[in-house]
Amino acid sequence: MKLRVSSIDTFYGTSHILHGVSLEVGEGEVFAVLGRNGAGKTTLLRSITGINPPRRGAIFLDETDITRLKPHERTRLGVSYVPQGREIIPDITVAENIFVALIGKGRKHDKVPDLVFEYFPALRPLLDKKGGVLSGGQQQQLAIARALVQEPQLLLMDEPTEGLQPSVVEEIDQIINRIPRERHCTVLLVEQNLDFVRYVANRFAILDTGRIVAKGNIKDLTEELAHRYLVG
Amino acid sequence: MFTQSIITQFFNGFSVVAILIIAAVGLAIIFGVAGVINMAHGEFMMIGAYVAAVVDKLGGNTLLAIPVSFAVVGALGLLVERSIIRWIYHRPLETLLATWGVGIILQTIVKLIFGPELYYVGTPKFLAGGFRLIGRLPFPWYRLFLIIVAAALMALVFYVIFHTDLGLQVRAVRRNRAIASCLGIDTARVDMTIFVFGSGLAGVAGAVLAPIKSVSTTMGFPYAVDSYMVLVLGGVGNLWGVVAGASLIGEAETILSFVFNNVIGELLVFLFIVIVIRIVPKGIFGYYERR
Repeated sequence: MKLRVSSIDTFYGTSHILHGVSLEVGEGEVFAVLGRNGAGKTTLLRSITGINPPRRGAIFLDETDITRLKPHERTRLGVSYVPQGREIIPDITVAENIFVALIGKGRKHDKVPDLVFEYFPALRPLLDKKGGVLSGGQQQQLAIARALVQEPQLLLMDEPTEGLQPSVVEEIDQIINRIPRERHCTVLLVEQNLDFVRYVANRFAILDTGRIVAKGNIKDLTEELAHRYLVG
Repeated sequence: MFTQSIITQFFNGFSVVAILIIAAVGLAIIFGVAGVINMAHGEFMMIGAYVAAVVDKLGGNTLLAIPVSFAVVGALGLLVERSIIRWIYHRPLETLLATWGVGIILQTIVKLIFGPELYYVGTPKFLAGGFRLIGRLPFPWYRLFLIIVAAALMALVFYVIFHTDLGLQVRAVRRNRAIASCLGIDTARVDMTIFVFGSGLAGVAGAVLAPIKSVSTTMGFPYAVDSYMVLVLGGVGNLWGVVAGASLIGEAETILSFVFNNVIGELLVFLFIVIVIRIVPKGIFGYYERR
């Protein structure tokens, strides 16, 4: 599934966060959005999910204009979201967190799909535990699993390794690297970790104070660019 | 003798608790899930009671009135939600004023149709009379029936919330509306369904309370006030809040009214509520929601 964001302006209340942001992510690509804290990366993803729809501009999935659609309608068209901070629903079980995702997609939900254990075998013994008692790494696995069971065509991931232990980060990185090939989905990833981005992404864009200041092929992501917009 | 009387009052209190649960549960789930304080809750109950009066006139009894009131008031809830509430969710002041207005309109419409006179609904024949409790004080069968209805309604609500797809969606939406929506849950539909379900429960409350109270356009108000007190005391984070709030208020009011008198009893209960919410502002089972 192709994603086209066409000069969107997004606001948080009265603050103007995104200024005329445009980008295109091709079918099957892994596209990374980089930028400092507060650059508007999360807002960009929230504009695409529909939590914070843009006030101006348009967003297309393939040729469908989704700018005015509600989040759940976008999900049904194939968008799944792994939010920043994981946002596991804490007072329902791990299995129920997955069932919610299946119900949302109008799928059968009598059992947790095997797909979950294929990627995250560690979740199997945790199915009856409440989401809130999981460790950060386990919650991240659940957040990704929750998105994968929806068989997304466009997967949005917001800093999936933020705040996790280095050993866990490596494991999650490897799985994220497998997803686009094995699940045949397009990925739009927000990330701070340059090494990881170079490892998984085909293309990138850099956001700075709500504007895209650089984009290109991943090999064009030079140290000079990184230094200017990402470090310090 | 005094102890025995207190025990009898304690059992009498059960039926008051039951009435409070029946009246409050619909309000509780609408407030707990959709965040709407339905000021027309008393009027929804009143309409449920008028439906019971009509069913009674046509030869039916309370058992028939329960599903009919659920359907009629549920449909009314759907109408109110679709035409008014859905535009003003998450704006507490507007929903308060709008539902208050709805309440006034409903009272007027019912008065126009049924006139100002009181209606009486008989108890079903098989529930007439009563039995004797310890202390040989009479305990009407209908009060026992109310206790059973309260237990059944709580069981129904627990079942819906914890054992159905709708309930799972409700729990997800309540906890994190934005993320539930991104997971594909149509949150507006969940709100609507819960509003209709809660309205239907208000209808059932009216239907079963009709035989113990004369049916009039203003009959719902005191029950609505009691329901708000139950929610304030019990908190809306948890269905047990309804049970806890209703139990404390119902028993305290019954026993204190017996020991002192009605006025002092009620006063002490109010004082108790003030003290409790001073200590736990969100109520006994309240919780802090993350948006």
